[in-house]
Amino acid sequence: MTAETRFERSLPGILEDLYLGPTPDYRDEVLAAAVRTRQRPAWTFPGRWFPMLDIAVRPVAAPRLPLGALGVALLLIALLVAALAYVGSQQRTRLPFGPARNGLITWAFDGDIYVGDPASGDIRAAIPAPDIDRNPTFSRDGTHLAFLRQVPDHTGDFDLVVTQADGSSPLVVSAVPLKMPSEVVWAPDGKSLLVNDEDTRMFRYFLDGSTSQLLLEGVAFDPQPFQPPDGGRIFYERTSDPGSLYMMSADGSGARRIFGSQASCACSRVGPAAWSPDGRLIALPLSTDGETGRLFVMNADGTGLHQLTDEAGKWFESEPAWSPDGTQIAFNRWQADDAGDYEVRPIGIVPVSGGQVRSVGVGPSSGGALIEWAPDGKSILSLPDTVREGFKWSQGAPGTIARPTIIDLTDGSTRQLDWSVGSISSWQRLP
Amino acid sequence: MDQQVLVERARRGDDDAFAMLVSPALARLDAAARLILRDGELARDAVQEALIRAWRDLPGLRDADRFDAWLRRLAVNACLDLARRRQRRPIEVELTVIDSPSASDHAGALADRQLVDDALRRLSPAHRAVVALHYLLGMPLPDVAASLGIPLGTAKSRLHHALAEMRRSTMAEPDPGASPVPGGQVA
Repeated sequence: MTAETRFERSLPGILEDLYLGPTPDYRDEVLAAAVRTRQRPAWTFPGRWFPMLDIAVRPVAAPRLPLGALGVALLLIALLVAALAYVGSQQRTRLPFGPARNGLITWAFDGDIYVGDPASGDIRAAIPAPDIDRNPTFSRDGTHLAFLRQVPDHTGDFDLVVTQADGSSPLVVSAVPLKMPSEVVWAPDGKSLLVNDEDTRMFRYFLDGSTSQLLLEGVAFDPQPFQPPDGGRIFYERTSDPGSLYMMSADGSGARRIFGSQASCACSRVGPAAWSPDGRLIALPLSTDGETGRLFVMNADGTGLHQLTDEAGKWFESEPAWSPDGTQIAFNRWQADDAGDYEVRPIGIVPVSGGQVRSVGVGPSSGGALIEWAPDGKSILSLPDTVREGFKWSQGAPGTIARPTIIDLTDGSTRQLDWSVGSISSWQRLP
Repeated sequence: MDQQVLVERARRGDDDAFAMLVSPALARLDAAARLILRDGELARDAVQEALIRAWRDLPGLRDADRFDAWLRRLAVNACLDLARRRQRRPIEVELTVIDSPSASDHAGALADRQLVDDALRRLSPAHRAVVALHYLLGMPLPDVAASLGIPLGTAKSRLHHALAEMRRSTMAEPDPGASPVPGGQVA
């Protein structure tokens, strides 16, 4: 996903070279010292006769909004404001961005790709095939599905396949298999896909059969690098300049740095950045003290950087996700306790215009959530962050199994879908 | 011999079984301890303390399958205890002497290793412990958090900052461009 990937993969080898030696020559001495100690009798351990439960993370129920108490007048005002915001958003965002109708959700599990209807809960296999398929993603207009298919007997090598949204008419668009791609992203016009492989190369593949392009080497990009609405520009990170953000035209020309160490704040980027649906702003988590992380927003050209969240206390906020109408940002957050330990908190939502952070849903898994807004902007799909690890590191394995949660933002309720999900998911937009 | 059998025998005071249990892990525990403490003597003290606790408390271990994870946790906690007790002691760095470079070694890689080592020196023991458990002992991050008794969010935060520090150290100043491929090429 980012430039960390390559460094992380080489780190175990570096550390072994640095520190790992043969069995230490003090082996016999320390063993002798250990066994000279008297063992504690088993009965002195409470856990042997007292049932001790493992500590469990209990979901924290988010307080329900007291809508009833607010009265009819307040409701009418809220509706009026919402209507104005909706109208305003329609003026700012252009297709294929902005609110849309909710379609199906797709995901991979155990090498197969499924689609499910979050309203009814019904699911079916989208791509019935004996192959190992993963990482499905709908095009922004909802008409196509792209996914990775492992080359038989070549673990880690994948073909990039595109089908109609119903799984029909499969087309392999990669002439040569890709090496363990970390990101597959549709261009907004649905005519090409951007892929980042394990060798930090950025490829572009075209559905019309045009020759694929190697745009850049030594780069990584975040989950949504294309600038809305037309994808004319792409932002990315240079692996030789970690934490930076660069921008270039979609054809690979005109690269320039828009965020880095000489930015207008003494800060470092601590997570993926995200385009606003109108393509005018970029949200990104930054740390100004090397410990906490806060959400910031800047203009598309890197100017106008300002902090968006300012809750009291020490927070680590990351993975911003814009609402389809571009008025709110949802994000993961952890809060430090008195000892400085960070505990996960429910997903936060903050208005882009500024204001208080609102907690929604129950507390996600301790690693945070994969946050995806429903195309209509009325709910959020939350999956444990661990399914991303399952995809990236467990080649050929089903990886983590998770149950997705739908957080209804209109009434604050949550419901868990009885689906087995083993990958990042994608929610189809319908006209 | 089966690990469960060895654990059972060691629980009943069989020191040979205990030696067979812990010996395969000693090199890696020693490496983790030297990474965290940056001092060969302290690392030895920490490993010894971990083995003493393991032997002493083994009868209380309920799940024999968890022995390895339990031993790693004892070792890392012993490291952190020692680090806290010896905060004012000057740090002496002692690295394993590598007999000869492997075939894949080259000057850049060697320089990278030195830079990573320098970066690790600047981190706190708590941050180095997360790195050691995750990258040297191969523990998943949730297990790292459980072993250190910290929330997963804290483990992630510490790992992020440790990685950022190491990456900053190993990355050269940015050059003008990122290897653009004019006009694209066939993939």
